[in-house]
Amino acid sequence: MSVSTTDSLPARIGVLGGARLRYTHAPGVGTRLTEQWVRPPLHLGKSYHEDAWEISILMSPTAGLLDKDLLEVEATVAAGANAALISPAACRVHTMDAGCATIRQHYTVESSAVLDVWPAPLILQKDASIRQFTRLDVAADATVLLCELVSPGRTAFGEAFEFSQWDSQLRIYREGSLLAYENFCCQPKQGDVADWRALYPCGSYASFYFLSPEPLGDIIQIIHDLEMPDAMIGASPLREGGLGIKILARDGISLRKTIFLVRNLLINKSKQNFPQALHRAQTYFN
Amino acid sequence: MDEADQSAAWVPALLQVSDPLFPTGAYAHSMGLEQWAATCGYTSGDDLMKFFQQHAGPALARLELPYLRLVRDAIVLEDWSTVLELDAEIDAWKWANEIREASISQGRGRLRLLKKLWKSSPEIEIYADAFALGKARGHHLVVAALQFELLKVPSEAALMTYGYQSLANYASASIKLLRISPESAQIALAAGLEQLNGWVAASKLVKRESAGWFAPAFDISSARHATAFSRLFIS
Repeated sequence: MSVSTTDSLPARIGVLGGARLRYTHAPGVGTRLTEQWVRPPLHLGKSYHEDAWEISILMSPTAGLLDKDLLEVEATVAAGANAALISPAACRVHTMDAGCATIRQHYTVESSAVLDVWPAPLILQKDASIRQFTRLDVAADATVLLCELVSPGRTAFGEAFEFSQWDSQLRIYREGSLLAYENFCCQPKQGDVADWRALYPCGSYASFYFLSPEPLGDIIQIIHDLEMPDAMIGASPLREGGLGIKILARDGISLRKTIFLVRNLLINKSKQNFPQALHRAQTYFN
Repeated sequence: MDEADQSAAWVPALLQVSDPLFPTGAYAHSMGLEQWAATCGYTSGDDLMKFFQQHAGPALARLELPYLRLVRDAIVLEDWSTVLELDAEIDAWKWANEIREASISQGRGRLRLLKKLWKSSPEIEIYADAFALGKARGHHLVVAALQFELLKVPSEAALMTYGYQSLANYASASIKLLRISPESAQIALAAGLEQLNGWVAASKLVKRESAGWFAPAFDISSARHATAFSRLFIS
């Protein structure tokens, strides 16, 4: 019997997973997920309800993302609703011979609504390529906590910054006006992110956007005064309210601790009643 | 005037607007270098060269010079809605507030003087009106593009000039921040300028949808400068 070679294998077809979700507020009931469409490999767990919030757990039971895979998440939080989207398991972007995986996210947060997006990290493995497109449309009086975590490899095994490419585009619009724009192509093999690598050669990265109608007060000074020996935090005001926060940490544990501290400060500042169930649900941080 | 003279007619005015004597307030800004130098423990001209190589040069090539070119292209086409859109995009990608405000402050200063010196320029007038009405942000990149078009500076020379000014501003700040001699700063600047041609060439290949640069540690450091206990520069 002849031995087959990879040359004879058909080209891999990517997996197209996604979710379209809409949260609405009903008086006397609280927030409910009133429209949902989910396509595997994404899986939407049973929701938590607490303090008029709906907490959704979004997971991908597969091992992670491969070449040509596409995940699309679209979520709308209607006026007055409070919703959290949590993914408690890290999402690995696997080694690829060529091509890339794609993640598209679009969040819309209407008047007086609250959205908390709190995922576990994206792990960029050796030779992995990923493109991310994130858009957030937010009303002036809405509250949003949008978080993203990235690990530059399986650092526990000494793999760091060996991924091929990480492209990311993020646009935040408040009342239709562009508030924040990130757009980059990061290729460590071309010498990119030298600043990150110099500081923490195996370190992780997190980014927050905090949008709130509440005045910021001295929150930036408080964040900068946090004593974190293995993390570096920078917070900067966005035009017309809100904050951008970036964190680099020596390792995953330091990153988790820092995120927890920063989240608690922001939650206090928001004057919104974030439920305890959020912390129980986000098991990656427990 | 022969053709060669005509081709260089833009030089005196370009030298005027590029000179540190031109009061835009750039001397008061380190554009992030102050906190970054403290974070990294920079002490020498070699450190400044490393900064040019790893950060300032790539940021010019992949983000700032492409936007300068895109804004100028839109000005040439009299496409003012695109100019304002690009201005808003610049405002949105300048993540650290101090850097964003420094850019606006320098843009505003340059615009004010350009308006006085070249009173008959319709382009300056249109943008100044938009700025006065709050429709334009007034970022330095946009005003620089207006200025280069007003003076008819060839595209390549305009990109080179903007690149030179950026690096020279860091070199100037480094004398105070790193306590290096003016000679060391000039040696570092010369090393950066040797690579400027390559950064300008690379910038021309960058399309709008891919213009961008990611330096999270530098961003964090720039943000922290705003609450630093002591500092010499505004940004």
